[in-house]
Amino acid sequence: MTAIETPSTARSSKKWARMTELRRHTTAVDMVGLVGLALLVLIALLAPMLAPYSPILRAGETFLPPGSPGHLLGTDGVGYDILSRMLFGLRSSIASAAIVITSGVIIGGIVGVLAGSLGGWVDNGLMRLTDLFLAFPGIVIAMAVAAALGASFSSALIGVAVVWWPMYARLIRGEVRSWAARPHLEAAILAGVPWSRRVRRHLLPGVTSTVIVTASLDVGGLVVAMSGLSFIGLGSPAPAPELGSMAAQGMEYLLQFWWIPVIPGLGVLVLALLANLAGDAVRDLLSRR
Amino acid sequence: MIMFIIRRIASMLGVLFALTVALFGLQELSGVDPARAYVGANASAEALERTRVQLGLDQPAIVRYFDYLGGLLHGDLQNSLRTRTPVAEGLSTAFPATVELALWSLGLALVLGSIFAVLTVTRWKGAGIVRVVLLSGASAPTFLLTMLGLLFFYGQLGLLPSGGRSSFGSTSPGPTGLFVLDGLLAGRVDVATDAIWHLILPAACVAISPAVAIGRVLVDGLRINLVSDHARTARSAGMPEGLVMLRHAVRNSLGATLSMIGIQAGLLLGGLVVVEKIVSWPGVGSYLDKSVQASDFPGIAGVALLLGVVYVVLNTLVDLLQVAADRRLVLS
Amino acid sequence: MSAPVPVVDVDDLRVTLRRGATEVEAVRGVSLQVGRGEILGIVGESGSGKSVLGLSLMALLPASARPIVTGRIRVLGTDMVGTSANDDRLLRKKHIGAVFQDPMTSLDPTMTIGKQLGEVTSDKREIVKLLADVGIADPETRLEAFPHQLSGGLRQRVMIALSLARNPSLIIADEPTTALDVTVQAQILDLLLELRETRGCSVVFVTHDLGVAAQICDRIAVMYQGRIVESGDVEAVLGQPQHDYTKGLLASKIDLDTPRDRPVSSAHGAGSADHLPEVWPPVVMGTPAVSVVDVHRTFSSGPIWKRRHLEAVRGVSLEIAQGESVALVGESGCGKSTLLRLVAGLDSPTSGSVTVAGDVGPQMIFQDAGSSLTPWLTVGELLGERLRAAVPGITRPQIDRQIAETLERVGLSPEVARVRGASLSGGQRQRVAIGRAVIVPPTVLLCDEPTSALDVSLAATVLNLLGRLRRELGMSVLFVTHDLAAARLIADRVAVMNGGRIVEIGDAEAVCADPQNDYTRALLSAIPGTELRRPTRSLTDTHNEEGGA
Repeated sequence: MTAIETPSTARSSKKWARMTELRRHTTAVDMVGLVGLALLVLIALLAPMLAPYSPILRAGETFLPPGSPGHLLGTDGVGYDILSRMLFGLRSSIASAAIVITSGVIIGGIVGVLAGSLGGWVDNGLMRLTDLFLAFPGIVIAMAVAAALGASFSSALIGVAVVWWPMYARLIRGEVRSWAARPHLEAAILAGVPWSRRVRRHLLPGVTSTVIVTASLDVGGLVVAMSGLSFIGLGSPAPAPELGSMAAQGMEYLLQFWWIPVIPGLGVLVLALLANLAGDAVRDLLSRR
Repeated sequence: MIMFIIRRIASMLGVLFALTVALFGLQELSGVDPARAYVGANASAEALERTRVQLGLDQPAIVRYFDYLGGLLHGDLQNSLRTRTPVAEGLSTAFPATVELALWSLGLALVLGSIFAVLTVTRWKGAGIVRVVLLSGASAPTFLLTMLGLLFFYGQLGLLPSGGRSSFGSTSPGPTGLFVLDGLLAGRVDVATDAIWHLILPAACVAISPAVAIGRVLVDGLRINLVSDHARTARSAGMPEGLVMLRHAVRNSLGATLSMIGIQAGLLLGGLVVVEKIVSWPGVGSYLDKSVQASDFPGIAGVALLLGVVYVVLNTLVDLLQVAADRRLVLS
Repeated sequence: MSAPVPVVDVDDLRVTLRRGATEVEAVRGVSLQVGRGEILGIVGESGSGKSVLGLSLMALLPASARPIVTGRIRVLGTDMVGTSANDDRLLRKKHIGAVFQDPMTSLDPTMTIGKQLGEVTSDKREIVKLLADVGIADPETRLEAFPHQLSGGLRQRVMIALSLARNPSLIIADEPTTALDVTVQAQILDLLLELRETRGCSVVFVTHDLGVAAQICDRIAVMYQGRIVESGDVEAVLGQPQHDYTKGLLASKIDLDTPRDRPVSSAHGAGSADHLPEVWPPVVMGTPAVSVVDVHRTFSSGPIWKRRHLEAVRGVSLEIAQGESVALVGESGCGKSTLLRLVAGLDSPTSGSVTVAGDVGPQMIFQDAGSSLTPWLTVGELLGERLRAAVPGITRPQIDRQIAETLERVGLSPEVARVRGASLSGGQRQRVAIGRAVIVPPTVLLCDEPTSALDVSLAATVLNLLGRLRRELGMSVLFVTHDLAAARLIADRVAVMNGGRIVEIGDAEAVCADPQNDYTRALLSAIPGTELRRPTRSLTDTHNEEGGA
């Protein structure tokens, strides 16, 4: 029999062990990702307070280069302050990624858990539907949906959400099935644990870590995909500050005033890169548990 | 095996059918009036009404859907609201340009992805740098890559053209509509090389993100298979490491890689649209861009249908190839 | 027996494996020799270092473990420590063949049998001859088969053919029969013996099973914690074991001669906390607790127009009295587990009826205790949940008290309630699973091979625990196992299943001593006892050797 410490020391020493383990395994790159993304989210939340000008009102002369007094990132062809527009663009990028992923996890989660735990014809029907969605080229369907609903922030969101949930449904259903096939669920059935509690206590905790990992790895790709939609005009209409459409509108000045289209693009890059690094960090942390 | 192929093709047709239903539904939702496209914005109310009856637009939705489907089968993608000409016409001139760019992008993605995988698995010394470059490339939006590429290779160095498909006019010198191939077929090496210069930048920009995704799946597959029991068996028989890699790792990783290629081919379509807009590539993406600017839903739906068909057919092929690589899949 | 130049000569071998920052010294100074044509058994429990030793003899230790090997290994006079990977490879290619535990994963799933054998010899006639040599009937037709289309026994035969292809002087067999049914195991052992006769190759046979080692080996080396604690001729080691560890292993080894009227004396006194009686008290049997009447269970798969039917259970009737223990014995695919699930209510019969008496439904103990415990819940939560479901309105203090009592009853400290299953050892997990099943004593306790994933010494303690609990709590037991010897110990009656039917049922001792059915006889004769090499068995029963997956 293993020696078992008294509960309080056992718990605190375990906590300590986990902390040191965390510190040991969290690489510098992981930290850059996690801290950087947290910082960007904070900036996005505070955008209205941080932005020196309104993002949709002329703030000064046109074509001021980055570093100009009062306009840290310069101004664009209309005379908007690029920094202010970037802050708000960041805000909408993060918000839309969060909304799409949340809706994807919720819809995909409901479909996946129902299909995976009920099985039979429910599973069959739901998975046929999911496969149908997955058989379409996602980005093209998102374009068609966004176009049909008219160019706006919400229609772009709906367009992407429509093609995003099936991936989660498939993933969650698979996870549910593989956990459900383990004897511990049959043991719970025999122990007389009611269905709802079985799903809540014996099934979902196993599924969540995979879902969290996948979702956090998805954020970067989603940010890029949505900026692409916005770039081809399927986002909020013109003056609204979105990173993709800012780049698209600045395209004509690329060779003379490179910063106007390039800075929003760099914004997307930084956000996506940090999100990818953070996603990797989350995966490494959770898979080590 | 034959049953499997038949089943797979039947399900492909099912998906295509669903695609037409979805697009028709979206068109209904978009509130576009196709009659408008025929008569123009300034036509009188009676003229509009007359055309509506002519086109059968007073019929119930289900009847109109089958009209629409019948039209599709005859290659009728309705009229564009923007140009007031058939969408099919516009797309048929744009399609070869996109096909050429897509093939080059996919080819580059495969090459880059394989290099990435080989460098990672063999722990080559410079692999770290290559990885960082490719990973940041994969995190960048395609439009940023293309703009930076233009700034550098056109703006700074003057090496590559600023856009377009060819310096020799918009018609290809041969039957396929692919400039490089046609140029070579017609013995016009200058046309072919010129076309390659035009292709390099957009194709590379589109290829990077799929290349990384494909490379990653390949790396995972190779790693798992290299430490597998069956690789151990091969080693126990004295097989050299290189052959173990080739016969027992690469082969066994192909299935997952193929299916990732299928997925990435779909995402690549999105990249194409963006790049075409930036470098004024006269393809389907530019057509879509113009349709979006003009809120021309029939144009957009036409592009979605075309790319959708390409994607679905491609993925059916990928599935069949996968089964050819690993016959156990027939059972599932 | 041993020739002047040993085929294998190992001297003071030490192997350290690394995982992250932790280092494990898996082999700690092993020396051994294998003579020409000799079969050396390396016997030990899990974690003894026997498999690491086997792999180091081939220089096939996983590179990811960054092994450090010191000492000397010579195969046919050629050094294998400190040599280049390529030299090791050439030596393997010329002189060594390997057979591994799991033939399913050890063969490349994407390649046909013919293609895989083609990697070691290009001559097709040679391949066909090899397959014939390892006893595969109709070898030409098997060339195009994929591994998943063959039975376990056939796959292992293919593995053996693969290892023989280059006519090696040495075969390293790492638990080659562990994944196989007993009758198939007996055939594979016979094959290896026969090949040693015809080809004169030496064999290093790594196994956890003393009985198997007794069947096939000339000499035995017993490994414990990375060292060889005892070695010598098989007769000497098994007949007069010198080391305590070997004695313990032999004592906890269950066979058909183990006394049934008392607990098994276990290896390390690990069961001392179990309050075992000297002799089992007699069981008082009552009215029927379980009655199974003409039960059929057919599984259907495939599309409607060409539906395939698998009749797993074909007309079984069985009655278990209150307090009685019945064992269902058979090989994989015989329908015993399906029948158990039907009694548990986890599955319903296609026809026939299953009735279980009493208010408390059947509880079940699974083969893999680890996966039967929800990984993120603590032992206390799992046991408490069972109590709450069975006893409505039970209070928190009552729950805590009952959990503590139950843990004590199954030989665990009450503190275990606070930990998760994952941080317990295999034996402790099985005790927790048993605790959950009996915290509210069920009318009938179902056991699905609860000892087959455990080392022999642990298996004995679990059997003892079950024997005690069923008597204390008056439970009926339905015990599914592939192991007739274990069945004989735990059960009052034994039912032998084959092809979905009960082919023989009767008093446990009577069935084992005087079997009436041919299949029971085949099962019995295939059990590797500690008696030494029996005459080659004439097993005509090849029901498990037909292809088809």
